[in-house]
Amino acid sequence: MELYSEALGDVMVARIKGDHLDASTVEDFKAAANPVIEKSMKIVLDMGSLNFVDSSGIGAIISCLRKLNAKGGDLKLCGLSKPVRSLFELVRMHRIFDIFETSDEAVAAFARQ
Amino acid sequence: MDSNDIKVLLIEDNAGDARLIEEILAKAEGHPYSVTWAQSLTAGVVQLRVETFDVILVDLFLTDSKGLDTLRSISTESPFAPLIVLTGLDDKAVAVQALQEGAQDYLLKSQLEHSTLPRAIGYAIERQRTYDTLKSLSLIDPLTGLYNRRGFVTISAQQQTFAMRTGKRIFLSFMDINQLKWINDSLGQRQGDLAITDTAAVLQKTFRSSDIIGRMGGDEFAVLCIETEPSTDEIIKARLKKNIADYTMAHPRGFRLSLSMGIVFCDPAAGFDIEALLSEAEALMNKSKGTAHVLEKSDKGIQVLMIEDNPGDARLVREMLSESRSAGFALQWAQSLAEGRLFLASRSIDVVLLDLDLPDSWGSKTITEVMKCAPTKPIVVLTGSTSEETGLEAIKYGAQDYLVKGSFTTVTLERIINFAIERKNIGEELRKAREREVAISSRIQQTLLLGSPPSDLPGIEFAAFTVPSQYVDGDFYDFIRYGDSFVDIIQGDVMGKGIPAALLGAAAKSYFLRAHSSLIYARGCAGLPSPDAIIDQVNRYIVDDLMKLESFITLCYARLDAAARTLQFVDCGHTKTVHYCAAEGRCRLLDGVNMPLGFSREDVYKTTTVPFAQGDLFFFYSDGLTEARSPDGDFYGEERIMDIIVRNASLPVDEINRMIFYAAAAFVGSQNFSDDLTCVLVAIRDRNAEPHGETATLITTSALDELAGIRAFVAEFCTRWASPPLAGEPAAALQLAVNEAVTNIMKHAYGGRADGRIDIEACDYAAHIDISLRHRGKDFKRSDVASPHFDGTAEGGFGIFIIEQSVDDVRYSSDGKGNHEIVLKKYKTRQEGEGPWNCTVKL
Repeated sequence: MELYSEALGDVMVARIKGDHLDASTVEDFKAAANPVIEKSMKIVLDMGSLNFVDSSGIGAIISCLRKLNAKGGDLKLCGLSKPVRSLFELVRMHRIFDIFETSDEAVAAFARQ
Repeated sequence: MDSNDIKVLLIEDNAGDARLIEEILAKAEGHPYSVTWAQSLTAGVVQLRVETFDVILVDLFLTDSKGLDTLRSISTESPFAPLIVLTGLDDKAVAVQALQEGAQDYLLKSQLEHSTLPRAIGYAIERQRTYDTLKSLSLIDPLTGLYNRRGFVTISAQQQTFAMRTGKRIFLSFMDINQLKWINDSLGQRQGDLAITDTAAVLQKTFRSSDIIGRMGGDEFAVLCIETEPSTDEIIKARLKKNIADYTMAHPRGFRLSLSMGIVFCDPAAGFDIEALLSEAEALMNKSKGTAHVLEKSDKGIQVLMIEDNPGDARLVREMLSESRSAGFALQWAQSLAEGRLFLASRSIDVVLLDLDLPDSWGSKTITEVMKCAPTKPIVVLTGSTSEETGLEAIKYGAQDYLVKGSFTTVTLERIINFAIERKNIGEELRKAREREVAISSRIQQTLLLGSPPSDLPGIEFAAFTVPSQYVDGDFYDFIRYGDSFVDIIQGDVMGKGIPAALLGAAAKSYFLRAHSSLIYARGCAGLPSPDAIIDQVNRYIVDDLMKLESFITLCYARLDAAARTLQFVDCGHTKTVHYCAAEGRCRLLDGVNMPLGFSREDVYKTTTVPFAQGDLFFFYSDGLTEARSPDGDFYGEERIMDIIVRNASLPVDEINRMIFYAAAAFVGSQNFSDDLTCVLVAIRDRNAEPHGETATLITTSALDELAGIRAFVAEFCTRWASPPLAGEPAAALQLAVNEAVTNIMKHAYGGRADGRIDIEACDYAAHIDISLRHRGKDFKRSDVASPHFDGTAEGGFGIFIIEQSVDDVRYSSDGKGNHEIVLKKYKTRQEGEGPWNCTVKL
């Protein structure tokens, strides 16, 4: 599990590399995400490569959002595949997160704020 | 999350306010709080359905609900959790109403502080607990929610101690409702109850929440107050009177609420005996009654109420009645409908003479209005019109008779009044008799007509129920079991309604048992009598009675032979039994060749035999089901039943029965059917013999790295091995559920150790796939895992929720030797009304 991040103005776009975020990869993800969260206030998490996320994965992403919110920052998600999107809806997290189709849309949404 | 946490549901659409509240509670000392945030009433209601909360904080003004409606929706959903209302407005009126509607407290958002909110929550929970405890100790009167006599006396003793400490005076008011007996007798129990709950509401408004209010029994109430400012009984009585007037204005009823009251003051320091105070206050009250405006029933003659706005017409009737030489009439005259209602509420009236066109009501509506407040009183309409139509219409609306003004004499008037009273009395008697009959016959049905299906017959499942119609019509069923191999199923319907039909049904049932014993005796050791022999015998017993009563019985007598795998049945003119054949995946109707019981002495009955196999169903029903009609007049018929059975044949038997019933109710547009509706379902389901297709096993370790491989195994099994395969979203849902369950085993059962063993077995059935997960780790129960938070405040707790939402059945079991198993079941066919993930059918 790796995270490629790229700064677009003041927004950091972090792209997940890997096809699943579950209990076995979630620690790696947290380790990769923490430095990005420390450095940036506005993050777009591109989940386009993931075709499976489980409850541990959702938990880790919620944790990112909470850390960012705590210091006044925000997290937006993009590129959710159909099963991943379904899981977010099942646990009603689509109401908690701003979710976009593409990273461009997510970055543009930051610009509008 | 700790189980000692106070679970708070916060229903608040303003994210800023919600965050503020969460912060206050996060910093609060003492108990930790776990807050679940719902952004709308709908979201809140969803939360209340999935878990229980210790306290609910609610903003009354939400995007999807406003004001007290919000409060009512929540208390309907969760009547037991204490509620605190949050509001931005400093609106006393709303606050008071909210408290009356059952909220425990009321907080202004601008005043929320670190100290106030936790304290308010603590108090609300405490008060609710006290209230619950009191209720459980039966100190509370269930009708009004006030203390009952015991509660009043118990709590008053505590109040005395408090009063003594503060040196304040105590006063005790004793009240009763005037004319409650009359309200009960003339307007009915329901109106009587309303008078009692109205009184409770008025008292709660008149006194402070710290005062002790009790319903002492019947129409008597008492209030114990500590005097905070000098008071006299005039002040208290005036306040009570004003509140009664206000309340009556806001809640118009068919009666006039009035209370008598006695008040005693006492200095608690000088000794205090609550019972003595109560009797003293009661005596004072009774004394005041003498001077109060009390109405006693007049004994002289027939009490006539004339509602007529024209003084000329009224005088004429008055003169005619005074000329009457018979029994004698006492006339009350009301000039408007409103005034008429007052008379009806406060006096004993025998008959109403009613002019239809009044200042406050006109036309036939006037009759309806009068009947609303006095349904048992006969009405004679006075009309100026000479046309027959007006009079006939009046009778259609429920009047007993009509008189054309200016064209009747004293004698006609007298006779019509007497007849009207008599007819109404007879009508009432008939109505009561009919109600009694329905009550008796439905009791006969429930106790005598319906047998209970065997619940422990290996490989066979039963479900049976009857929904009685308004006039029970003698549906019955029974089951006779012989060891583990035979069971006889009898489902019949007696032609006719009410008590006669119910009794005939009961008699028929007992004849079956008699036929059995006499035939078994006659045959010696030759085995069970055949169904046709039993029916033949029963017909002999009952045919003469049935013919005399011009009734008959249709029924199906079926014998299930588990060893031979056959159903032998005699179908006596009954509805055609549905046989679902699992191998073919379709239903057929079993045709009978026999006549109903009671047609002829000479009938020869024939048994028909059909074979059955694993997974087959037999459905027996009364014609109340197939002949249920839609509003357009169509019959429900057999096709719809067979359709439901085919599509749901693998569901639990109760579930299928329920689906058939609800589908019929939806078809009719009501759950009240014109005939009894009976459904008996029998399923051949030997769990061990349920034929299954491919099985596959994967043995893995408890290392988290295995998860991806386990998911691939499930996916492969669903698409390549299963037949028919499971693909798309249902397959993804099953993968997700297995992933979550295995993760739980790895983390909780094996505590994160990587060397535990997990056996995963997939088994394919025609209708579903089962995945069994076996392990030897620590046993963990479903209740060990916390409920999820859907508000983004918690990062865990979703696993179990996801599993339960993603598959149709989850079973945990242990063998007591350290082997544990979780079985996840996912159905392949999607049922009607099902969401993308959830397979429960909502009816």
